[in-house]
Amino acid sequence: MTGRISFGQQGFFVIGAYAAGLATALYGAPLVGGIAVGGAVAALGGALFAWPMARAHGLAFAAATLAFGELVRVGLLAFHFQVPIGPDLVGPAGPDGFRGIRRLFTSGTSLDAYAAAILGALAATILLTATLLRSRWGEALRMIGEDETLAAAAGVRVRSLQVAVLAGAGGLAGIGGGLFAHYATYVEPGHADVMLGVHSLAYAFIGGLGTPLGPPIGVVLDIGVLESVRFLAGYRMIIFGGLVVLFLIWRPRGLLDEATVHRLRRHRHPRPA
Amino acid sequence: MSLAVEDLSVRFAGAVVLRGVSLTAAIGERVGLVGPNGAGKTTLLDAVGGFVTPATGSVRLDGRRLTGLAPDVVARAGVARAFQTPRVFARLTVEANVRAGRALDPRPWLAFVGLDARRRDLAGALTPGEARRLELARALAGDPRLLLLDEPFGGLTSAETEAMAALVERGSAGRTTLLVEHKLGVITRLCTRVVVLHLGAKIFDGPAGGLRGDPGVLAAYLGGQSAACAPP
Repeated sequence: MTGRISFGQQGFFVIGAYAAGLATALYGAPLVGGIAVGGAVAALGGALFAWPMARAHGLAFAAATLAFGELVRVGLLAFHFQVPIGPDLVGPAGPDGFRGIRRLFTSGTSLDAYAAAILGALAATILLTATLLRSRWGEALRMIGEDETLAAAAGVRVRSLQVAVLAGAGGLAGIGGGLFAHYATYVEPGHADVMLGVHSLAYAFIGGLGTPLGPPIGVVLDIGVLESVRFLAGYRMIIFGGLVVLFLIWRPRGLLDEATVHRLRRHRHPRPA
Repeated sequence: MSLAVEDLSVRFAGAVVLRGVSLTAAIGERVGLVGPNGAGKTTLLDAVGGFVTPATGSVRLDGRRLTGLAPDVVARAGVARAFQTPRVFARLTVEANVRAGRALDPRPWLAFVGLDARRRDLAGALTPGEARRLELARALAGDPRLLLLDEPFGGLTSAETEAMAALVERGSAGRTTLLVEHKLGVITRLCTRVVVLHLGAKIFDGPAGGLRGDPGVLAAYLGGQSAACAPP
């Protein structure tokens, strides 16, 4: 949205997963509260990362996000914080990860209800993004994404908005991490592998940049293609790479970019004669 | 006094591109800024607008010190800028470009520059002349106290220049304006005062009518020997 490319979303995802797990498994927080804590901690991490990095652009920013993701992964390899709960030791155990995040299954929530809640969270995210993009703030964010200097010349609070966006993006990834950790009942440093960050970028590049429905479309295409060629085993990543390259050449801003959305809107509401 | 620039110097990697330039502009005054390529005109606008941090000197607008402030803070202090190469947000609509994230109605400004029929088009689809008018509309929409216009007539045809000059004249009425331009005819028509820069230094500051006869200005434009050839 603001023209920055992050290779570090997996770091926020895992921060959210660990924080949510700690909140529910170690400190007895309810499921929703724990996932909210995961989102809040990841958002705080995003803001703390964004503040010094707000002036970095292009390759420097992308490299910094990649380094951040790796820093989180390596940091979690050394993170031990286990406490006895009943007969078990529960909590992060370095390379062995964090097992025993069972709040979903002890809370009596059915998996169907949990799946519905995840779909609800996705719908809320899309709705929130669509509302934001239609607002003055969304307009300002798109201005920053297109031309930061020009946006500043128009009086847009560039740095504050960049920090807010990175905090928001971190928070969303953190909520995703919390939802995942409670479904899988465990999370490990390997979940912060850089390929998760690459995929999260590919979702936007394939589906469409700067539009609320673009990334979900990218997820369907990316995961759909990868899963449908599972018989190719490791070679299917060549198909993933080829798909990304094709899109970068053919449609560098993805299938459903801003220009396409604009054309669709003009088609629905043609200019009066 | 609305704008007060004092002893402004700017260095880029050791090269001095602006040397102790001072100038003032009264409220509502249009000051032309001319000089050969590389004279430091755009750098002066950049320094006033907060895009460049000066090595020495200060910029004040209505008494408020702007030096060292970020460009967005300077903009919110009442300074609007149009760039040498027309810059628009190509993926935003024309009306969103004028609104620019502010709580304002863009339609009067679009009507003012004659782009109301194109308000829902993407700005990337505009012609260069239309993009120039859109830049002016965006600059004026914030009701600025200081307008920084960097060659707003660049690349325009004679007819477009005439139309644009009329827009600048009407739009900048009552606002302090620094106008960088190579077309001296437009400068003398729009500006009461002209400042000439050469190699980063101010060499002339006076009424537009005195520009053509000034030996220093002629030397800067035509070369060191040309002053002697100037008509008396």
